[in-house]
Amino acid sequence: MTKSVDKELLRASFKLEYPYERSPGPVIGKFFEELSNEVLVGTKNSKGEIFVPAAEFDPKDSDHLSEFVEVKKEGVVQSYTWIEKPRAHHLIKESFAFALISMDGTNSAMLHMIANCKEDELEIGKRVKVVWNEEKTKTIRDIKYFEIIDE
Amino acid sequence: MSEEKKDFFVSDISLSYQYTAGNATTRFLNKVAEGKLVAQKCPKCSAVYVPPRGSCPRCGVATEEELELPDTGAVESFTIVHIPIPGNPIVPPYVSAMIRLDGADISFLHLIQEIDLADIRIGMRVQAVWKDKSDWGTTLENIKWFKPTGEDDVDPSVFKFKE
Amino acid sequence: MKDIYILAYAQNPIVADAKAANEVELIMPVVHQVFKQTGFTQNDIGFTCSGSCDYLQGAAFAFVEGLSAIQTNPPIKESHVEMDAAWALYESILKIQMGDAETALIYGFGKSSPGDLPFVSTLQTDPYYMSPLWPDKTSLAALQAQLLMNNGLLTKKDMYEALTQSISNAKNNPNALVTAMPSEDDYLSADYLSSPLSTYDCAPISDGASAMIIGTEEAAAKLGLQKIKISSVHHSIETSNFGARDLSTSESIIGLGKKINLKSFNLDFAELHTQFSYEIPFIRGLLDLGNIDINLSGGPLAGNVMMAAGLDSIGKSFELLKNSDFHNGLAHASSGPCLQQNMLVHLEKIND
Ligand SMILES: [Zn+2]
Repeated sequence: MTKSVDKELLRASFKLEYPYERSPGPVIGKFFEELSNEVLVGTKNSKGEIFVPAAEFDPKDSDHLSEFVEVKKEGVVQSYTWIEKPRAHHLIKESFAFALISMDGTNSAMLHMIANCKEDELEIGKRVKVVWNEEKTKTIRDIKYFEIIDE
Repeated sequence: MSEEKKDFFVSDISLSYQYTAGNATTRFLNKVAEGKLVAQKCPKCSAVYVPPRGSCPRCGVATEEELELPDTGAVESFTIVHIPIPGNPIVPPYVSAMIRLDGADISFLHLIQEIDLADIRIGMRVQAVWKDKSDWGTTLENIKWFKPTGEDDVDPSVFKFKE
Repeated sequence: MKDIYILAYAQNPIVADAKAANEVELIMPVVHQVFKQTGFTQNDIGFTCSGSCDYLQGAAFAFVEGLSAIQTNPPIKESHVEMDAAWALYESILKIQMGDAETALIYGFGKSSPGDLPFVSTLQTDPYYMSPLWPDKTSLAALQAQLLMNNGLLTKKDMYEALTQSISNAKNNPNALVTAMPSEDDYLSADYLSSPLSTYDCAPISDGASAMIIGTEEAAAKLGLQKIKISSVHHSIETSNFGARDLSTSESIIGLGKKINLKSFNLDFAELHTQFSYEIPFIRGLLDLGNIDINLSGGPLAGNVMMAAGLDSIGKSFELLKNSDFHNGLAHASSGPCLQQNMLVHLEKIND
């Protein structure tokens, strides 16, 4: 705690941090491992449905998923929200979008960001591709963001 | 799994807050800034709380009545800390003690210094050693530590919570 | 199954900043009020359960400290949910159904003003795939609103109407956090925080607390008050795999509407735990509510105490039934991004 700034109220600025070491486990760990190789993989259920990012369990019937398949690094915007003025924790400091992106051939969507475009270029159904972070951390941030595919 | 493979990542959870002390604690700390220890009393069971949090947790009622307590008391319990705690500037070994101020019904945690570690015991009389007045703020750290007074020990049965 | 009744409910005035007040100082007034309404003391309570989230104010174990607002001598049966207090109510109902208590005291409190709520809510999301990207609460809701607009299920005008109706209804609740009523032009020209949502579309950051007492038929009969019965209560949650959800609908809400047999009684009003304007027309459509009045209390858009606002939907429905000619009310509580988890409660006025 830093020193109080308001004597009557005793309001003190305070930072809460939890630098936990998170173990991703075999499925999410494999997904991150492959991201660091600039490869995108998903998990496949018995019906042939593919989940990217790799799901440990089938979101419908909870079946444990362990079969991995590589997918293309391109997908389609399912929904998006444009953030003209990024706020406190946002990773991108210029205007960007959060988006749900369904990678080609998959049956779920991935939450990530879209950058390097203008708001009016974005729409649901737009095709986007992965832009990799140069520095790899084996986390979801190894994808820096997505950008629109020029067609 | 290969041995050198890192099997974890560090989450960067970090949130900023403007924390407030609570109305009762704010009143208490503003008095501490004047070198006074002001407790609050339960209107139902007359238990005396220092530091106060605004209620009697036994009765579930607000503790509005305030009374100033002396800076003397007795050791209700203690532990000798031998392990350095990250971020804590105090060099082990040192004594952390629950101190029951005279007239209070609960104790609070503080340090005991100016003592041979072998002499520390439950029931020992202690008194606050205050920082230089110019360094006082709205914090119990205005009290550097407690030290033995040399008076006779109190009978530990006095620590029993009043019915 | 035992019949369970709401016996009392109280809400603190909702404020944008409770200043110094700590959890104890927020909870104590509402607990004392529900005791006053019933004539009960803590000794008459069989089970006590609360809902809160320590991350909101950044004070670890604030929920334990909060217990200092309650008489705990002699020791009491107590529990806590790190959720909206509507789920503390649910746990209390189960406790009574089990025969372990005749009455229960429920309270919820939230002090969001010390932190940055939209980002505190980020910690609710998946810690591997989502929270490292810091999606804030508003942006996640915006993804759903955008999709609904794209699918022709929602317009900004629908959202504006829901907002102005809520603000106008807030006059019915003396505890509401009154917010300014924007003109349609102001509303439509407001900058988006996260498109298509502007500040107007988001419930205001709020501090406060609420409490409720429920009891069995016997406990209700002793009090001789107007009987408001919890006729049906169900809750359900969708997958935490955010990208695997169909955000254009809500299987959870539609399923719950069937479970509480919404079509089997003449519904008079609904109080919905809607933290964004778009959720009002969205849920109206999902539950086929037609022209039913929604959020006559103003709802969360006129004051949204995190971890209490769901309980408030139920409490406000109780008050409305007690003080009007209405007979059937629907209350809704929710949790998680984009209405991931929901609870529906059918409240009924019983005339002896
Ligand atoms: Zn007391």
